[in-house]
Amino acid sequence: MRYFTLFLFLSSLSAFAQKSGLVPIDSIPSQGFVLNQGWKMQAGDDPEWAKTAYDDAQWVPIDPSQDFKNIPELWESKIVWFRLKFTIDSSLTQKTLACLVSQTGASEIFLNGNRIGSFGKIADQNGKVLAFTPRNGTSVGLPLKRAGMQVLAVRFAVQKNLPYVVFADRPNVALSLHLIEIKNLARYLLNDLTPYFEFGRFGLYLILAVIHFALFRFNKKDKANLYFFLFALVNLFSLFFISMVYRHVDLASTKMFFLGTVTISYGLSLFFFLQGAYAIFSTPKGLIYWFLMFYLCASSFILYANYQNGNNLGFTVANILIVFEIGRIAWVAFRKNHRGARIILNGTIAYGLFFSLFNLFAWGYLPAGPNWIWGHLAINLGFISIPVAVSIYLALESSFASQSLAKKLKEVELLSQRTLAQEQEKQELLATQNETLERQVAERTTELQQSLETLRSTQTQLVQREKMASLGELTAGIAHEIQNPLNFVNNFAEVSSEMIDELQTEINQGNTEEVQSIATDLKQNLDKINHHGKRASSIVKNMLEHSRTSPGQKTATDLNALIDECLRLSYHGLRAQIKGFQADYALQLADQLPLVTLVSQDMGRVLLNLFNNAFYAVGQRQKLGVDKDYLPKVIASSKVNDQGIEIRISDNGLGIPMALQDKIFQPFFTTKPSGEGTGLGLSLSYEIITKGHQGNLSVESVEGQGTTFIIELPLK
Amino acid sequence: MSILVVDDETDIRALFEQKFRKEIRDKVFTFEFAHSGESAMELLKEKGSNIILILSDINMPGMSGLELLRRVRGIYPEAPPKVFMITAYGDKENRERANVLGADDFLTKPIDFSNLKERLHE
Repeated sequence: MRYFTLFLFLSSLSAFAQKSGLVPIDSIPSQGFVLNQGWKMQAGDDPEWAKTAYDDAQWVPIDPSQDFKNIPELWESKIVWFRLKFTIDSSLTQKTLACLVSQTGASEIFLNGNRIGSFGKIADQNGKVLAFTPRNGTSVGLPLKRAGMQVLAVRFAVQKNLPYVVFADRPNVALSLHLIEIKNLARYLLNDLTPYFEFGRFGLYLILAVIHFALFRFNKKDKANLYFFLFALVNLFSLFFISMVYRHVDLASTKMFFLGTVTISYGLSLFFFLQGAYAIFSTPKGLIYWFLMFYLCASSFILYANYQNGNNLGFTVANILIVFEIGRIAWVAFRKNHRGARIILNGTIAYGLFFSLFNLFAWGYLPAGPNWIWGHLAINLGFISIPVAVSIYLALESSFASQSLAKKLKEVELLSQRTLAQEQEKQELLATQNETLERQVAERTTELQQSLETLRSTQTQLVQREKMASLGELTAGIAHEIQNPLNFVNNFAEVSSEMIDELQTEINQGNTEEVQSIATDLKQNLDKINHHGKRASSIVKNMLEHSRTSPGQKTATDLNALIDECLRLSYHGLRAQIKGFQADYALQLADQLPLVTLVSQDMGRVLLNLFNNAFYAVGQRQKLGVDKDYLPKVIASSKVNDQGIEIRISDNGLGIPMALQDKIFQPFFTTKPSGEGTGLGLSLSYEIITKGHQGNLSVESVEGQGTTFIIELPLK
Repeated sequence: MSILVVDDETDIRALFEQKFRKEIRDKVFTFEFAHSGESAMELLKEKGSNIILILSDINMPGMSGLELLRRVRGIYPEAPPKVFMITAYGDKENRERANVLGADDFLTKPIDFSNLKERLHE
């Protein structure tokens, strides 16, 4: 905005010849010119002063097109008058002329004593004046009918209670009358390129706002985009007021309000821009930053509070300092090899260059081209250079991020492929291992199966060996037991033979009674022979049964008889094994013991085993010879109770230590010296009683006192 | 003159009664029979000095023959009664122990009755 008036001002300077006294106007260039020379001023108010004939020789010369702050009379008086005397060439009377009016106040314009225009309201009383700042292009017609001297008189008042904002370096022109031919007016107005560039900037800021908002919206962590969005938004706001509103409002009070708002917005936009720049480079906010913030706030405040003085230098300096600060941090980032810092730096440098160039155009050091196009371009490029640089930077960042993401994605894909391959490899390895494992398991299973079979066969062999071992132990007992019936058989046979001789003698003697007696005895003897023969045969049969491998049949058995037989067998067997072994044994058998259905061979084996153990235990204790009066004794008892039949086999041997009592039924557990016991006797016995006969085998033992094995059999 | 035969085999009685049929009939000897050491001791207490000879088996349930011998010799340190122990063939250990305990003689199973008869007559 500021350059626009500057442009008008400068361009008019070149066209207007400086002369004293009457200002001659011979020709009017197509773009016209400002009538800023030859004016005189007088404070006060008199309708006569409008007239051509009035002599204003005493009036003070003045240029009313300067800033109204510079004309003290405007502020000291309620009303002032300006007068301009000029001559026109007769050629100009043929042309229709107009004056473009710019002013900051209220005015009534008179030409040659006739009022040709009125803008705002002039009043005597302060506070009643209504300042009018006509929009661009507001003009009054100048009906110059004749050549020669003309008088322009302007009755003028300032509205003193208004806050007058100085926007940038734009002066508040008291009164400016731009003389132009009507036919050139429209073209002249159109030649002002400012609105086009402002629209252009508006469009650019709109795009930037949308882009940065979208970037921020989709990545809220990136605060830089938020700041640039706010920067663009505030600029949009400013441009909207300048281009859309300010230009179309005439009332000074309204215009001033807009200008004030726009000025502060401009400061605000710089504030956001600086925030964004700091965010981009992650620059720590140091002393410079806080100084700038303070300075910006203070200068904005001073500007706003003090605007009637029109002093905006501090604020302008604040803006320049901020641009320098952006340049500085971009430079620091560039030195630190921050990617893209060069772009911002270039933007800042471009800003500086374009503004320098603009000033060269503005001050006439360089030709600005037709319609001041180069000046417009310089200033607009200056305005947009930094935001555009930032946008390029962010786009580059985004592109880098995208490229980096793409690269990472590729890496991830590669990694994932590798992982997949590894996974597959692992799976394959696992499958191979699984296969190997399965094969090994199968092999082991086969081996185990073989081992199990071997074990089973060994077990069978062991069980058989155990049977044979116990049989071996019993051989002497069996021999003894067979010896007795055989002795009887022999003795009875022998005595019977003798008795037959006797019988013969008695028959011969006719001793009938004796014959009868002998015959009875003979019969009895034959029975005895038969009985003892069977007894011997039964022992042999039992022995064979004992070594049998096939399972036996359950039969009703006289348990007492079995106990008796086994006890004897065991005792005699042991006596045969241990030289000089002598033990007391007793049977305490129940009188009325019912027959029990059981596998007698198995039960016999159990009993033999328990008796063997009992005799072995008493034998061992005797062998120790610790107590002289020790009498080895084994007692077998049977009785019927509620649960069934209970058989107790007690000895007063060494007893079993408490710690071993749990182990004695385990297979291969033995306390006998190596080679003497298989360690299977008790475990087999336990199995026969519990599994074979649904009974129970338990032990009660006190170490050093003796042991009792208890067989409990159910009565079925 | 009573001879006490101690054996857990009850048929020993029938055998002796038949072997010494004539002697019993002619009252040359009388035989007493006990089937355990305990009952033998009771009979001994009962019959006392009538018993001049004890024939005892060694292996018996309850009180064994050797224990009986020890007890008899506890009461009668010397014969009478004489004590003949009936042992199985080759039972050398028991013979030695019986000797120590004061046995007077030994008979080997099966009993040679003609030999026994001769010695009884002696």
